Amino acid sequence: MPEVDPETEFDICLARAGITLPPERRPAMFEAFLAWRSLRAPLSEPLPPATEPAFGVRQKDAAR
Amino acid sequence: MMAPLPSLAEASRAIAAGSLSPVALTEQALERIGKLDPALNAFILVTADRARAAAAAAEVEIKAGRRRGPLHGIPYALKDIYDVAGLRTSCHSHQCLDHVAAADAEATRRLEAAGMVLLGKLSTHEFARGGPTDVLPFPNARNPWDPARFAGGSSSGSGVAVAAGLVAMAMGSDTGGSIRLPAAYCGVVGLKPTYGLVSRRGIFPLSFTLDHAGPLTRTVEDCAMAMQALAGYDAEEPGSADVPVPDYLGGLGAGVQGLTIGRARSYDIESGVDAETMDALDDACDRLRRLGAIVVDVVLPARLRGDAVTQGILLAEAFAIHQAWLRDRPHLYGRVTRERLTMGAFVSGAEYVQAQRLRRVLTAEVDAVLGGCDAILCASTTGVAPLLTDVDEGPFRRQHPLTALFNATGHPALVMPSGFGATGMPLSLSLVTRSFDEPLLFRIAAAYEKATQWAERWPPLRP
Repeated sequence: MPEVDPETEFDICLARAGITLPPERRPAMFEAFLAWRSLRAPLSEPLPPATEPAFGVRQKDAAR
Repeated sequence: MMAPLPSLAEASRAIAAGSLSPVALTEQALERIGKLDPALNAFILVTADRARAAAAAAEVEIKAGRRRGPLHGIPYALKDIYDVAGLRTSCHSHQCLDHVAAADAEATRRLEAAGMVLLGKLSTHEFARGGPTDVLPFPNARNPWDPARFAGGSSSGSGVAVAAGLVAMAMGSDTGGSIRLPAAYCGVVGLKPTYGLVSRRGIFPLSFTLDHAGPLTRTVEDCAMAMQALAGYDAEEPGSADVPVPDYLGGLGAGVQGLTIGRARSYDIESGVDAETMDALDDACDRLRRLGAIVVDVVLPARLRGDAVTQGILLAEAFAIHQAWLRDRPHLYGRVTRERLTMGAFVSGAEYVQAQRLRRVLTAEVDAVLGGCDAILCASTTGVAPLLTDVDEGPFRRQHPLTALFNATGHPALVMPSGFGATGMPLSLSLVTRSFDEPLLFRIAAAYEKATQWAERWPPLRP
């Protein structure tokens, strides 16, 4: 799937969240958004089924 | 001027011996706060009347032979995200100026039940998330070693109050390092306990699965004393761990003979830790070796993976908590807080789930490291407290805290002084053990502390 244009993704995320930025802060927020985009790469790492974020605390409680 | 408050242990022993009264100790604290805090801004609220009443009641109980335990009659203070029934929990924000708590946080309840005397509520970065120069309803806490430098955060008031000797123990919260960073920059001891060990019920959340509550103190023994009162299962807190609470004090003098310390040198190098901090860490390893420990090199997960996990979770969870206010009344946040919270809008559901999954992998990797050693020793910061003019207050930090990895993995992590840098500012180190092995953490930290004199130096304060 083609990578979404960063500015489009930025605007869609804010619109979906219902958040309006002051115009003078848009450049700084967009730069921060790009920094997050570059940081998130490890979250695409293939992971085994055992990493499922199950509701483990409650499961253990029920078994106790 | 009144002297700095004695440590918890010193005060406890003096009260037990009848040579110190809770009333006199509380008056000493209130006088010192009155003289020094106008320049430090550690306190948002000083509860003087309440403290005097509690101290007087403690004194009566103790004289009548009803001493509740080692903390009875000793003052403490709370980061202003902890609820105290009848007091405002401001979160250092215009958003919460009208919020008065209906009940005590569980941690507050435990400290009150132990007979401690609340001195007041402490400064924090707004909602434990903003920056040190945000424009907020209360001034930001100043580092007692140098007011031009960062006090660390977000439990800044807690670090400052303990470092300045205004109080011997203050409570903080830690989502990515917010107990340990002010401890590092202010030269005190700060503990992020194992996830689930100290209840967070009644503490305003930042990130449900990364938040930890814990104490800041001047000494390791004080930290252990505080944890003896704070640790324990809370059936009303979903993250609370139903595990036995061990004796945290009994092993403090057992030393480190035969223990293996894993030095995470590559993690520190990858993080850009500076030369004087690295030298102090090497010196700490040498001291531990001389005390009988074996020091080996260990490798922690790569920073990029840890940062992706901690930031992905923190941003999304904090956004879930604040989204309605960000949409409906954003003007009531400081600029830094508002922008950092808004960053959560950019984390997708899939990214959040993947971060929680990768978190399990990282936890297993740190568990594996701790399978080959008794404790990990690494840096807590890249150097001493930076100048306030150099603090990054952008929406997304250029460098994320070294400490955050252990918020994701849940392991207990203690920061303590490791010397002083060329500028005279405190240096620090981190120790990490297996989950729920705080007794071993305290044992190693106490051995190192005893071999140094860092805790004996006080910042140069003048009224």
